[in-house]
Amino acid sequence: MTANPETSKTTKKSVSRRRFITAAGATGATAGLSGCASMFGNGSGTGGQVGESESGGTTVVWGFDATVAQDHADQLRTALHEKGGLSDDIRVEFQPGQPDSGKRRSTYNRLLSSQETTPDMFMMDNGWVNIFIQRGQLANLSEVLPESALSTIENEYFGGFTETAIDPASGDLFGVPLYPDYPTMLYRKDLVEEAGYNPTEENWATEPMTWKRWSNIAAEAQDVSGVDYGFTTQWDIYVGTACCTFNEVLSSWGGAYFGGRENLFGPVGERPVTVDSDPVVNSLNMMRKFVHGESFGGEFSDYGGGFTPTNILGWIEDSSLAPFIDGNAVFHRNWPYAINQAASEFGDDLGTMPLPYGVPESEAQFPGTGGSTSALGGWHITVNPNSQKLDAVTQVIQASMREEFQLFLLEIEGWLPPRASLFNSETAAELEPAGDYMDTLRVAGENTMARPVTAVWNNQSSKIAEQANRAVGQEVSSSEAMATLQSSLEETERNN
Amino acid sequence: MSADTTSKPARESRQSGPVVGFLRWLENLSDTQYAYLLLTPVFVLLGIVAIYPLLRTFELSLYAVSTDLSSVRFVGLDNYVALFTGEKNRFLPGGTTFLPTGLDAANLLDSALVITLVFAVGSVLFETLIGLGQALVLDQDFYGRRWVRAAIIIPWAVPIVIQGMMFFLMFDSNVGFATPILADLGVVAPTNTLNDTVSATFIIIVADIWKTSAFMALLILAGLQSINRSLYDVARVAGASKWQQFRYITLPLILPTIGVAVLFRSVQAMRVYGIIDTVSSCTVVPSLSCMVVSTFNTHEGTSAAIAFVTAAIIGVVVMGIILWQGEDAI
Repeated sequence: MTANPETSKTTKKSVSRRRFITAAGATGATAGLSGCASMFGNGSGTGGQVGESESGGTTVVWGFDATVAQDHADQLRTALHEKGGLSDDIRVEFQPGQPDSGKRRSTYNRLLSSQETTPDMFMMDNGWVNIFIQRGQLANLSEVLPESALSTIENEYFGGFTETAIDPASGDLFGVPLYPDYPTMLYRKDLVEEAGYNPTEENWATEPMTWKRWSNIAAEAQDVSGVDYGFTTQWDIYVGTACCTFNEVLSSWGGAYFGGRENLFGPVGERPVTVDSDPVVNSLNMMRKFVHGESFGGEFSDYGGGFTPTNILGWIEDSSLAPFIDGNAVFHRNWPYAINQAASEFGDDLGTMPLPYGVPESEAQFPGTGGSTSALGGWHITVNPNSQKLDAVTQVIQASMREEFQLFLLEIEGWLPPRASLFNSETAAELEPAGDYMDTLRVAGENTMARPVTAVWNNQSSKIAEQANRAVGQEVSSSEAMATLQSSLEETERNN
Repeated sequence: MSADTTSKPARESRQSGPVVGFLRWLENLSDTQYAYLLLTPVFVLLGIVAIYPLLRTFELSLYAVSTDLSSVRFVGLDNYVALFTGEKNRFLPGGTTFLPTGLDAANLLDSALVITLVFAVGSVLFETLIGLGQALVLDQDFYGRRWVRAAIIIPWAVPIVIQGMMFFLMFDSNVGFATPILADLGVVAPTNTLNDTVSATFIIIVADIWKTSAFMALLILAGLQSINRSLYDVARVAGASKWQQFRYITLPLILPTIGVAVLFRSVQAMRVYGIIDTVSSCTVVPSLSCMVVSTFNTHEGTSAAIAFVTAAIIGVVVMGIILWQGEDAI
């Protein structure tokens, strides 16, 4: 065999089973050990969040708004120390969450379900906090925060907003309000003045008007100015319609999803479902009047109509804001962030007013409804119960509760302070452009309606949005849509 | 012991110990046994990434969360019973259902199962026909064929989110141009287009056909190019027309390839989710995967039951296609 050089060469180049298994085993073992090495280390690598900062203090990780965390993290960090009085040995890392609120909620749900210790604290949409409370996934702040901080929240913060961070069963606090959000009606002063109205003299900024009067103004101003739309808003099949735009309109007519304000947060299964009622159907018919000009046998004959595009059926916040910013609409319903954008476009020609109403509170069918109603949005600070730095977290929360820090947030981000007293402060009034519109925001803040977030809200919101959209889209009558919604909401209220 | 090992005496060594013993055992394995040994890591990996999640999903589907989301309890197969009796429809988005609650169009289009099947059949059928046409063209010799092949593959390379945004913007009420044109032809609803189930389903099927026909074309082209060209020479000499050449040579020989392509595409189509989420919403176009995603955050057991049933339905469809292909199946 060895005499043949070809054979010898071949034999030399081949790989025996023994050599192959040895080589594969050695490679696998090396790769495996390399991969697992960090598990056996002392945690000094850069992979995980560490409790000690570079200066020897404590690092607190705060799950935060994506854009703000990326653009203003350093300024926020400095403000927490300088304006909030946070100790220098505590460093805050802002961890950006997903821009989409629903996706961020899913991520936090996964983190907390798997008992991760970081982030130590979160910025949570007030619409989800109740769900996390029901699951027992948040630290009880009534047990963590000092009494002084708890009494400040109870006495000085907007009660309706704080309520969305409280466990309805125990009354304990699970979130500290960071900033509330409530919409107003934006409008073009120049266009309504051209139509013969005087918003300043009539105190539009602080005195809500009826939908009837408002609709006639909108229709007339659109006719006179020749712009494309009299009104732009959001009515897509998405959570914003259920929590906010439809909720506002039906509440302003004295209607309610669940029998009134006192049943917003339950008890699920024991509260009445009241969408198949006259105020709710009327509110939808009014929207149909605005969009299609229907008069429903003369019931809405003295309302203005046909000034709202069918596009609202597919619009959410940004898509409905675009035509207003482009100068193609007279009125626009949106959150405070839109005021900053519109003010930079129109300057003094931008006006704001509380949302109009259908019936006054005294005539509302369901308790706690009627009158101008703004849906309550906004964000709370919540705490990871698995965090190993609760003392530092408590200090960060207290720093964020300082008035100076809240005014800083208003100035830099346009985030409204969670306490009413700050709306009247000189600093707030001097801020550009938000300061010019603080009067309207204060009135809106006093007339908010929280979304009815319970453990079943996730199932209910898509059903509400779908039927509201179908009704205003004229696919079914308003009463048919609400009858369907009534039975499907009753189904969701049943026990599993 | 195999013939190999009986015909040759086992290698002997004076060395001993567990490693040496193992290597000696290794070298005395038959070729078949050795092949299975080398495949063992693949089986282990497959078990970890495919079998374990399936079993874990089934386990999750045996539990239900309480109404207040605070506790989980074992319910056996109740989630499956409730799913098929319509009890779970209240947890699904909007007015959607798992099975159709009636045989009229509205009820059928509310059903996740029906929408998924309509999407799968519609998209795979047209993708196969268009892909076959593209493959037949690409199989010809013409100037610039290489560039045409590259151009055809471009839609397939576009990420789903980008593809979804393209079609969303085409029908968006602010900037879209397609709605008035197609609405005049009666193809889509003139208003609220992306919230109309029929219109949105049609748009999503078209978007999927646009993207995935290239995938079918490439697979079928591979089959076409494996056909012996001399068969066509023989057919021409025998006086066969172009249609007869296609009918009696091309089609039978590429049918197994088409079968494989249809199999892959059907599995993908039955899992449709991304394009729905970006163009419209799961409330408007309910697919089975949509139902899984929509319920996962609040009703894990229901979500897992739908996922397991979806996997079973895909399994049945795949078995059907394999049986249809007979001996030519993969």
